[in-house]
Amino acid sequence: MAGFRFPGAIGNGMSTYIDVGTLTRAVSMPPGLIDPLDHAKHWVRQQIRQRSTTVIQGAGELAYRVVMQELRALHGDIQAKVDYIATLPGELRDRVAADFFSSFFDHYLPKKFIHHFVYGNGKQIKLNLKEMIDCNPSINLLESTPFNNRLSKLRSEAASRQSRVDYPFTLEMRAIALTNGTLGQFTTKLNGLIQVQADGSWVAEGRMEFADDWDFDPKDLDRGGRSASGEAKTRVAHAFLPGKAFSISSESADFRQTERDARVVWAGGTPVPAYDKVSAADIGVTRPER
Amino acid sequence: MKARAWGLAALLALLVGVGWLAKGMYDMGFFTSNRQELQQLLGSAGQAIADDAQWAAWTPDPNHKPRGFYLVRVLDEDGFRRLASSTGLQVTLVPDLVEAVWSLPAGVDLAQWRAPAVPAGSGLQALGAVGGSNVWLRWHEGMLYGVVLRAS
Repeated sequence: MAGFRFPGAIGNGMSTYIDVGTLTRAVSMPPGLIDPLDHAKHWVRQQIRQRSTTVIQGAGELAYRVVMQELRALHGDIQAKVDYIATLPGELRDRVAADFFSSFFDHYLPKKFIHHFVYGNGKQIKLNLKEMIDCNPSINLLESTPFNNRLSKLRSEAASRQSRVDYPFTLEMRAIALTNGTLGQFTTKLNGLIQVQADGSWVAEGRMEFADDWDFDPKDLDRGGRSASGEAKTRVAHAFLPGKAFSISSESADFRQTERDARVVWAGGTPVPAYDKVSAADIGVTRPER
Repeated sequence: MKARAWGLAALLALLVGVGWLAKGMYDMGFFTSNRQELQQLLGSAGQAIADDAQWAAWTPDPNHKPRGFYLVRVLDEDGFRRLASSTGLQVTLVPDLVEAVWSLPAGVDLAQWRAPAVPAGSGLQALGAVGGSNVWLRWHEGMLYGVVLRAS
C-alpha cells in the first residue's frame, strides 16, 4: 500500500507519506539515491559473510531474505549451497536449511518431516491413516523370507491333509515408501491369519502398523538397500540438516494379500511414486539398465 | 624450465585429485551396476541362475536399489533340474493357480517373458530363499523364467 505522499517535506527530494495500513509516517528515497532496503541487504550480506551472529539474528526476516537471495544466485550448485548454509549462525541456519531441503519436495509429508526434524526436538510422530496412505508404501509379503518359509510348510501340510490349514502369524518386515522423503525403507508390523488351501492358494489378512526412525542414518552401500544417489542424498542431509532424529509410528490398518496380489491390498490401494525433484530429473534422463 | 616444473606439479595434483575422486565414488558405489547387484543378491550359490540370462531390474524408487529382477534364459529340462538342485530348491509341477509373482511389474519390460502363461501341470517350478533374495523359477519348453525379489 503506497499511502498518502507529501512531497519534499524533509528536503533533498525525499518525501514522507502516511501508510494507510499502519498510519505511521514513513520516508521514501527519491530515484537516483541509494535504496535503503538494498543498502540494508548489502550490510546484512556483509555481516553474514563475517558471521556476525548477534547482528544477523537481530536482522531477522531481512537476513533470511538475503540468504535465500544468495542461495538463488548459486543456481544449481548444491554443494556450494550446503556449504553456504553450514556457515550460517544458529536459528537462521536451521530455518534456511529446513526450507532448502524442503524445496526438493513437492509433497507435503517430506516437508512436514523435515520441519519436525529441525524443530520437533525428537518428539515421536504417529501417522494417521491418510498419512500412511500418502507415504505410498509398497508392501509385498512374498519379499519376506520367514513368510515364504512358513507358506511353503503350510502348503505342504495342506496338500498332504487335503484340507485347509490356518496359521496365526506375526511378522516384521521391511518395505519401501514410494513417496520420497517420507519413510524410505521402513518396518511393517503385521499380525493376522494365513489360510492355505490344499491346491496351494492362500490368503493372509489382519492388521498392520508402520514404524521407522527418521534420522538420515548413513548406511553401508552394499547392504544398506539405498542406491548410490539415495545414499549420497542421505549423507548430504546427515551432514548439513541440523535437527534431531525422531521415531515414527502409525495407526493400525487392515490388510489382505493372496497369491493373486502383487502386494498387500489395503486402504492405500496401488502405490504411486512421488519422487523428489532430483530423482524426477534423473528418471527423465536415464534409461533402465539391461 | 620453472614453468614446466609448475605444469608437471599441477598435472600431478590433478591426477591425484581425480584419483581420490574416483576412489570416493567407487567407495560410494557409483560404479556398482545392476548386474553386480543381481549377482550380489543371488550370492555364490545362486550365480548360475543368472548365467547367460536376459534380465530386467525393477526399481520403483531410484533412491533405493532394485527391489527385484526378472530373467529369461534358454535351458533344457536337465539343466533346470541341476540348477534347482545346486541352489537347494525343490522342483514341483506348475500348479493350477494364477500367481501375481509371475507378472512383470509396471515399468518392467522383458521380451520373451511368458512365465504367467505356462500351463498347469506341463511346466516345472522351484522356489525358495537363495542368497539375499527369494527366488521363483519356472521352466517350460526349453525356457527358464526367474523372479528374484530382494529378501526382507
